Amino acid sequence: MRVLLTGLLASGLLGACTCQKKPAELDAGAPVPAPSAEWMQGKLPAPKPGEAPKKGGTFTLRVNLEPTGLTRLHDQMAEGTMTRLTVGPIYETLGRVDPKAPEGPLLPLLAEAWEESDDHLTLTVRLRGGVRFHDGSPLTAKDFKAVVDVILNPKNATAAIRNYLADLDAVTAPDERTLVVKWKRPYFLANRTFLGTIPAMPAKALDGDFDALPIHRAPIGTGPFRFEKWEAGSSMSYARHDGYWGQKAWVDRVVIRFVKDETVAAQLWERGEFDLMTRIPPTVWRAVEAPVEANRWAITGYQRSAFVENTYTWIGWNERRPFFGDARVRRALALLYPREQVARLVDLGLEPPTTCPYYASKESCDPAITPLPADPGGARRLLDEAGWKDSDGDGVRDKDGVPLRFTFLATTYSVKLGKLLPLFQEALRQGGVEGDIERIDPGAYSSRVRARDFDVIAMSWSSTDAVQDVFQIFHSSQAKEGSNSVGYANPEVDALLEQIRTEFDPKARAALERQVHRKLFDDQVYLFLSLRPQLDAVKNRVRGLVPGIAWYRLQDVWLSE
Amino acid sequence: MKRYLLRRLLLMVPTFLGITVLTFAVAHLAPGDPLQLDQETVGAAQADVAKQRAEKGLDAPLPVQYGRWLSRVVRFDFGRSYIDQRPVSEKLAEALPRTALVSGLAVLFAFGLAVPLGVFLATRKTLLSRAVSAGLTVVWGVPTFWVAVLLLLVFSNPRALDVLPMQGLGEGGLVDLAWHLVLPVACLTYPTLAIATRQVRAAMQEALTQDYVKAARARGIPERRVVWRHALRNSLLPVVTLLGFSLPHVLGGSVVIERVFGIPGMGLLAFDSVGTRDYPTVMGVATVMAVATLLSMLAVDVAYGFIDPRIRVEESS
Repeated sequence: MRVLLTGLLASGLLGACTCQKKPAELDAGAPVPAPSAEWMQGKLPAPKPGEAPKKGGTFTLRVNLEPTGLTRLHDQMAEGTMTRLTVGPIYETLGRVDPKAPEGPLLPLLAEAWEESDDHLTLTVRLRGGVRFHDGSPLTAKDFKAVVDVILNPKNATAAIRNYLADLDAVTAPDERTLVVKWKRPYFLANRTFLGTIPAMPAKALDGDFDALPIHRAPIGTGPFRFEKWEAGSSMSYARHDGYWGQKAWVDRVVIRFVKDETVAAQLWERGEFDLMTRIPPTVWRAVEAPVEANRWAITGYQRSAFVENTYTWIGWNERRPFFGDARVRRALALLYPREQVARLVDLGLEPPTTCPYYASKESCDPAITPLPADPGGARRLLDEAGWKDSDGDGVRDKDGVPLRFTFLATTYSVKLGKLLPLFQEALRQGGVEGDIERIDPGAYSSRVRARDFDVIAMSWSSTDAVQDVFQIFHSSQAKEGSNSVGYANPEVDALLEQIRTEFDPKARAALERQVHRKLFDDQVYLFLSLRPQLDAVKNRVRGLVPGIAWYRLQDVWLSE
Repeated sequence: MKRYLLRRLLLMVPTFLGITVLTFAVAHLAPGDPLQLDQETVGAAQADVAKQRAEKGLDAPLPVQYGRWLSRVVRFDFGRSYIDQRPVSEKLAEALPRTALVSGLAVLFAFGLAVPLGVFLATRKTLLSRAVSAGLTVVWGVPTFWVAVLLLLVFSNPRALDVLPMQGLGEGGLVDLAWHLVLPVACLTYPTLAIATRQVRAAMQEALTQDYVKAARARGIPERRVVWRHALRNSLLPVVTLLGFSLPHVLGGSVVIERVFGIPGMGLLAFDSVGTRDYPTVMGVATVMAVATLLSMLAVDVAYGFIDPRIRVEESS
């Protein structure tokens, strides 16, 4: 509702102001041009031929949240999205995801090269020479070892990142530029995760009480930008690191402004205060499309970017409940889901539907599978077949005295669910199913999910890599404490997921992953909803910005004026 | 008087304990956990988190945890945030001045304007005064989040007036700061102004019917003096009470206003720390609020004595 209001305010009210306030100024301009096809689709224009990058200027962007810390290590401070956005340009890892082929091998970053032993248990990394931290000290293999030691120390609040190193046997630094990583058992993602996740931090900055380390709030990395300052509650800034080992950044400074309120953010955006406006709500995205005077600033002043992230939303049925243990019931509920209505009214046509737990454009998804269409008749037949009939005539189906009545658990913050769930609720009612909605704050929500104290949840899974392992999410061993919160257990899927873990050939692995996709779909473990687009707008003067699975690379950005 | 003050100060101790016990209990009993990880990273890491929890003393019984907290607070140690690990006192020291400035100015303006306006409305029985009275009632009911956004759309939009800044408190300099303060202070002022004016008007109207006012008029004292000296002083009691209630809010801040205008003050600090179950910060904010409330209640009681000679501290007890 709040975003809807935002949209109304941004479009309607501002429009109204315009008509009355400054007619002379408005008449002076040419008619507002209709947006181009690229603009409408959110495809950033290709680089203009003959334009050479220029140095200088300040690049300002808006994010909708403020991080609690600037670190990838600390459990309470390193939050996925914020960390990616805010420490991305400061910290570097040994390798990075290839933005052009995210499912392919990593590209070397701080590593010059690496070698994996035939048994996949040893990784030998040769570090790039001549790399220096922002404080001037040289990067050595010992720095990486220090970071790993800090992560492995059970006293430190590093449980989340330590999880990735659960199978680590030892890390050694035989010389300044060589790092040897040994694993206890082979795992296809082990080396990729190590190379792409462990940030280079100076060893000496990690001495002392881990919780109170200054580096959590004033990061020192090797990246193209160095940390400048952080004004709590308002903004942070980075300056170009002139001692950077690679292609130096073009802009002098990057300013990240934290603007939580969507209406205020839309206003600041209209004022032209952001070179990059991120996380535009779908309603606002649509509101600026009409070629009217009120939208001139957006159509003529900005380019839009709608990049589909590796994030999908889903509705999960707690299979510990009597009705959700039966796959036929889950399928019937999926058939009742008003997919078309949600796409039109909630997603505003911006979210591509999905059925796959893997990166959508990848081999791992079976292209033959398409989302179940809304089919209330088919749903009723399935429910009848599964024995759920309205025996007492109260309009709600039941079986063995248990009514088919459950509660959707959602956080109070989710705008999308606030609109989607009532539509689904109404569609379910038509099928003789009653779904209540309970909205609670995110802290309580996480506790409930972890305690498995829910009937139905709606969440999203997100990854910045296209190579993924969904073992944690769907293997039956993860039902008690892992991310398999719905309690899904299928021995065939278990076997496939275990096989995938030690399959090092990408082609063979993709074949197995397709089978997983097929089985998850047949079992309707989740009602897969849609992929989330990252809706951004880029000022006309900005060049070199390319959206990717791991967000943008800010060192490529330059300003034409 | 000294004995009275001392007794009142001593009485504050159990009240303070009561407030903090309740806050502590409510904060901890709400489901949620400051140390929980993202859903994506649960699993084997849970065991490690359990150890962390033990280390932070979060698995001890609540009374024990409260006792530990209290023993630190009496030494002015609010502990460290569970989330960003900064000392809570540091976070309070950052947020408090911003909120005190914005809300303090709002209270100052609200009461500064409410007294003359209330007197005016009570003494003039014109159509205008009735319209203003009715208008105040309406204004009082308009939600600030709506007004805040509306003000931004009017005063800070490039296609409207575009004269006032939208976010933060400026980059230094008194003039810049003043410009930044206009909208948030205005938003916080009008509800208090509306209610305080109504209070002054009502009290004033009542005072003007009292015998001592008639007597004063009979003695030939000029009307202006009757109103401003004799009647006003006696009608200030409810206003002072209202002021007493408003003062703690000065330090508590407003989540809505701070969010819309991008002012990271006490309101947002409280809101965010409740959301993340950052108990040390929640309790830090609660402590500041409790002390502020108790002190302003005391101030109000003392002020009563000065304003109304009928209320005097009895020394006999």
